[in-house]
Amino acid sequence: MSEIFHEGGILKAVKQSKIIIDAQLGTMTGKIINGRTLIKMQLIKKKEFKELNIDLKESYVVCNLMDDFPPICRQDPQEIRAHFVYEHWERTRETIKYDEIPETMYGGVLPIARKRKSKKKATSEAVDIEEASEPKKKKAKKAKNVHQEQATGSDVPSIEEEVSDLEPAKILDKRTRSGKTVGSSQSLPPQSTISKKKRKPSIRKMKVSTYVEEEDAQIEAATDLVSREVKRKKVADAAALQKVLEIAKNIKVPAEMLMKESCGEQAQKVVELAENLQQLVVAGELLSAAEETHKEDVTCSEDVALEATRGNSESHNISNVIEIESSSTSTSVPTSSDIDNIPLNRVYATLHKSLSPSSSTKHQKKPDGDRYVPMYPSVLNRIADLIQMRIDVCNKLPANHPMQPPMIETL
Amino acid sequence: MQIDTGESYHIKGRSMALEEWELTVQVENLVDFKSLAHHGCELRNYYQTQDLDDYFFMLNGPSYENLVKHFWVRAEVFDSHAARVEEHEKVLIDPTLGGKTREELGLKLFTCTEIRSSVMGILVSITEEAIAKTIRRTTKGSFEEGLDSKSSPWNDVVNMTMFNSTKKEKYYDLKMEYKLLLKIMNENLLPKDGGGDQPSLEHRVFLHFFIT
Repeated sequence: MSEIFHEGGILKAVKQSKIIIDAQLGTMTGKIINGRTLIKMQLIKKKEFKELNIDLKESYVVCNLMDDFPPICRQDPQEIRAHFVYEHWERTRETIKYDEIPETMYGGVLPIARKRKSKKKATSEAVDIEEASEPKKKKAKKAKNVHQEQATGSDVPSIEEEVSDLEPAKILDKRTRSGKTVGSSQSLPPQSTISKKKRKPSIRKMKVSTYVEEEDAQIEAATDLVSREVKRKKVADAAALQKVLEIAKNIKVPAEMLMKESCGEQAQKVVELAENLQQLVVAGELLSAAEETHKEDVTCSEDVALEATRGNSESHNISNVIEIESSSTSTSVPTSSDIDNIPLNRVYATLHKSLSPSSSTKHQKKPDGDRYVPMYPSVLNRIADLIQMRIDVCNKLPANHPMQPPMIETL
Repeated sequence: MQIDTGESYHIKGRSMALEEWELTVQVENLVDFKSLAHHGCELRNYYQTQDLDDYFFMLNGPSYENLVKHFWVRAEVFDSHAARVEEHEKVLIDPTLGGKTREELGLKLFTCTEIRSSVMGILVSITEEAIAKTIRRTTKGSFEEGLDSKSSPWNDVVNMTMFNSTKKEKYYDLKMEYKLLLKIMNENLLPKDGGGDQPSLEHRVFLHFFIT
């Protein structure tokens, strides 16, 4: 029946489905009727039995369900089996289990083994050298293979595990199936192992192409004249500057020469601004004093008046100071000896401030002495008059009048 | 054997009450004629004369037990009687089809007896010709059925061939070669489970033809 299925193409159809494996098909082989059967049937004695090398053994060779089934059997030497299994794995990435390898070849012949022998004899030295260089690669792949098997964690022992232990590359170089040594592999001189040197980190130099060099030369030639002229000019400038510095060192410049001609005009403007500000300040004080007169008594008003007069005297002092200063700035008449007495840094500081007045600059410092008209006396007199008027009015009012200032009794 | 590939998938029900696991598949045994000859039992000539060399050569391979069970559980014999029943059913459904041929009824031509079954959804029909082709033999041959073991003249003939006597002897008295021929017959040619030391008359006749 199995042969009918095989011949009829059912097995082929099942194989194409790629669902069912041999184990599911219940693949098996029958027993063998041979000399041992005669012993069991008591037709011959056990002593008379002799096992022959050509005796048939159970075989799965005809199994068509396996693709790329290796042409090997268990009669082959271990190293050849290992090589085939490993080669099969490299080609198809499929492992061959030990149970899948047949006991004998179909017909009891090992044609593949013979072919491999003849191939070995025919190999040249060049081919052997290539083969000798292969094991390095195989070892790496073995490592991968071991990792894969560990990952899958298959408990079923496979030939591939045996392969990893056997190291077929080493064994194959020494022996063949018949046990003879292979001349080509032994005749090879031991190859000198190339020691791996650690590369030192080196800086790579970039190569400059010829056309870039030509272009650079042209540019350099074109700019050569310009650069020369520039250099000459620079040298001349440096020499002139040097001369000027030497001359400047030798010359003693008076402080008043450093001042600009426009300094006087600018100082005048500053003085005018200071006057305006001063007027505003005085007006503010006047207003505050007027408010206080409504609240404070006569004595207080007198104190205010005294304070006002004191402030007036102070302002007079300030004005005097300003007058002195302004006399030193505005008038260009004084002698050079007076100006020379002032330190140069102080002169420069005042000059600098006048040139760039900031918001915090006090304009009172530089009033113009000629145009300054102090207003303090008239204002103060006016305030005093007002106070007097109020006192007069209060004297005419009764003692309990609300407008009367509160009497403070002495302790 | 014909495989019907016209249908993509065909589910065929079981044709017997037995389940698949209840069947016992008897796998043919390999015969190592060289080993037997080495031990004084030359049998190859018996089978060469019957043109069965290729058959024994074919036995050295795998057998698919589960497929065989799957096949036989769903197997049915389609002979001339089954063909007529099939035609009759068609006419019962549609009486206007009466008197028409199988082709006109939409049925396949019946040429010979077939064993029809299904394997993995594939329709399979095995004919006598397919079996002969598989075992590398012609379909020609003769078979005699209905032999009476007590009164049949074949008893004397068979006994003479096997025991060299007209009397029926015991199995123990058989030659080594005949014993093995009987075993091979029971294992491969006419498969039989159980003991093989008491063959029926049919089996003995069959063996007689091999020996002679």
